[in-house]
Amino acid sequence: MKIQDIIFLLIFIFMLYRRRYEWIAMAGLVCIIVAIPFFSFWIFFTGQRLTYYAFFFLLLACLLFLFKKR
Amino acid sequence: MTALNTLWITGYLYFSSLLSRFGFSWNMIGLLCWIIPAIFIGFISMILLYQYFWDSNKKYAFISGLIYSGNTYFLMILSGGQLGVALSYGLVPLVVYRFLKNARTPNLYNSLFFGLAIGLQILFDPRITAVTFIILVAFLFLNKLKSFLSSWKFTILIPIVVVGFLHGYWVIPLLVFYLGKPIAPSIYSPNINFSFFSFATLENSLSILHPNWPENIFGKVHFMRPEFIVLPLIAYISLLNTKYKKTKNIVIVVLVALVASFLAKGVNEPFGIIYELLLKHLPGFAAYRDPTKFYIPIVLCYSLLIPFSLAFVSSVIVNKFKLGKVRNVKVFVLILFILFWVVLISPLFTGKVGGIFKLRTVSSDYYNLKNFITQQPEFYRTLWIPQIQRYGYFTNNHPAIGRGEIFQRQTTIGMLQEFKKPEMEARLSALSVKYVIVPDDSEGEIFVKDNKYDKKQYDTVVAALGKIPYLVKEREFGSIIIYKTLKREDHFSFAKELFNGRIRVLSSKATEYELSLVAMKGDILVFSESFDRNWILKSPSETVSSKEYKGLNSFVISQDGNYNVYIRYKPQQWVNVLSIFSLLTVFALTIYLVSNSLKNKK
Repeated sequence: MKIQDIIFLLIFIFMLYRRRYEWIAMAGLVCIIVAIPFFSFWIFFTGQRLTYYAFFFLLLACLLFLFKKR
Repeated sequence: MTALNTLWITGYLYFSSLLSRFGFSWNMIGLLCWIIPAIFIGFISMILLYQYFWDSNKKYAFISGLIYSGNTYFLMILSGGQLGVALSYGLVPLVVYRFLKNARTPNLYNSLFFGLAIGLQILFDPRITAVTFIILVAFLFLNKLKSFLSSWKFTILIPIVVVGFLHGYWVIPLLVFYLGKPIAPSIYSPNINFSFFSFATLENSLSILHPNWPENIFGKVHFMRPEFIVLPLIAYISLLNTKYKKTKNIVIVVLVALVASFLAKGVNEPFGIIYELLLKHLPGFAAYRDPTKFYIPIVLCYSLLIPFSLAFVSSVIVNKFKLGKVRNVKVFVLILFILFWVVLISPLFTGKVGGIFKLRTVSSDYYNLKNFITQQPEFYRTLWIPQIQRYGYFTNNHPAIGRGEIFQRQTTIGMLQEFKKPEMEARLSALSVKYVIVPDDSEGEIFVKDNKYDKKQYDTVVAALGKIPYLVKEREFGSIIIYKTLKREDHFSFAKELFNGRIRVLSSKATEYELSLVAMKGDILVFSESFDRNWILKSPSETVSSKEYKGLNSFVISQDGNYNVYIRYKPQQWVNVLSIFSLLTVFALTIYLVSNSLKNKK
């Protein structure tokens, strides 16, 4: 596990605790934005990792929204 | 009936090939029956779906159609000539649109229309229909599930009955004659190495960037292009539109896109093990050994989300910067996005996308080969090593064994080693193989190393076949080399050698033959097609089923003398009768739907 994975996990757990749908969706979008320069400069490992994080944040946002609604 | 993987589409293939009798060229038929309908239906039905789905935002519907019919996934399907998949893809928005209409307003008209749409989609590729079901199940939760279930006659029963009538002609014979038997081609076995087919990564699928874009060479994957990452960014911005009255709809569409992105990357990380487990343990999932089929729900969801996000961004810009003319901002955002889209798919305009988008000239050598084959009217097979080339000629009277069907090992070296086995000569003879052909790989698709044509491989095959004692070099057309086998059984023969009986083929179709026999009771008539107990022989005195003889069909003769017999494929008789029901259903539905919509317009 790399340092960025640990940071992601910490933020992920924090977001899960706060349960703010908009914050989590925003975190996912920020990950996508940050991934763009990494792919542009051919730093694929980090770019790829950021898309994973974006995916998990967005998934969490959707699930939280649906469960909250219920 | 042909192989299982073409059963459903065969009817449409026959229909489109009929046009050649009216003077239409192959290219024109491809355009009229396949390419134009796939693009047109996809574009128009996506616009309809977008307008229906969001109720408002009609100005952005064009973008929706553009994304759906102009993305890298669809362009790669088209360029690769997967026209059945392309047509089925084009019908996805129509099926979803009719499903939503039927779910919201269940009545006879809507349920028949939905049944017809889904029936049409199954005709072109049932695998795509199964993927479409993921979207339909998820979109069920957009409306009230209770009302959907309470109107089950319209929402479930009638569509199933319509599909049953439309596709009974191949489904019923399949159930009657093949239930419980292994019918799927071996390439769909859950035991093969599926990682070979998972080319897309999560960043590819999230960005609807086909991994083989733009060349569409199998296995050639490019580095991630950063400009495509902008697409999920735009699409998922819609999650922030919390003032929209139906945020739940946005969330469901995003969820479908995310799940499909996860599936479309196949066995690749993260959690690739899930896809592997699905392939191995979920019955029928092996049909998705190529996981890019799951790009379809992503594309559909992005076609709904991106224009919606653009509208949202436009309104944010207007409100934030207190811009007066809302319309100008909206038009500016639209034009900007269209320009961006043109940049994304620019390889299409610069000639980098191959396949059907490039004009090709068929080498005269393949025309000469076609003439050479057709000049010999008797039945025989050709065996292509290592595989048939896309311009290779074959007919029912001269079938090609072109995909290594008779070999245990599928590599070129493996095939050549099997050729050396002593039993191979008898095997080829029993299968009526007259010629073994080494193709001219004019398109650089067969003898390939590191994605480039490798002449060494071609030379190895030619040299190896030249040393096989039971093959004689017969002709060559350019780089096409033809070897003739020394012995060959006829399509129909008697098992006993040096036998005085006589067989004459009076008429032959793919599923029915009429023969004139001079035979004795107890003789075995061998029919050199792969064994299938559903072949029957009808003589004046009785009807007998086929029995296996060295992997082929055979019939024990029970009558002396000179007489005519018929050999028929039993399931085809079912297909012939049930096809009539299918056609009648299409006509009746079309008449009902057209007359009803005309009435409503009045």
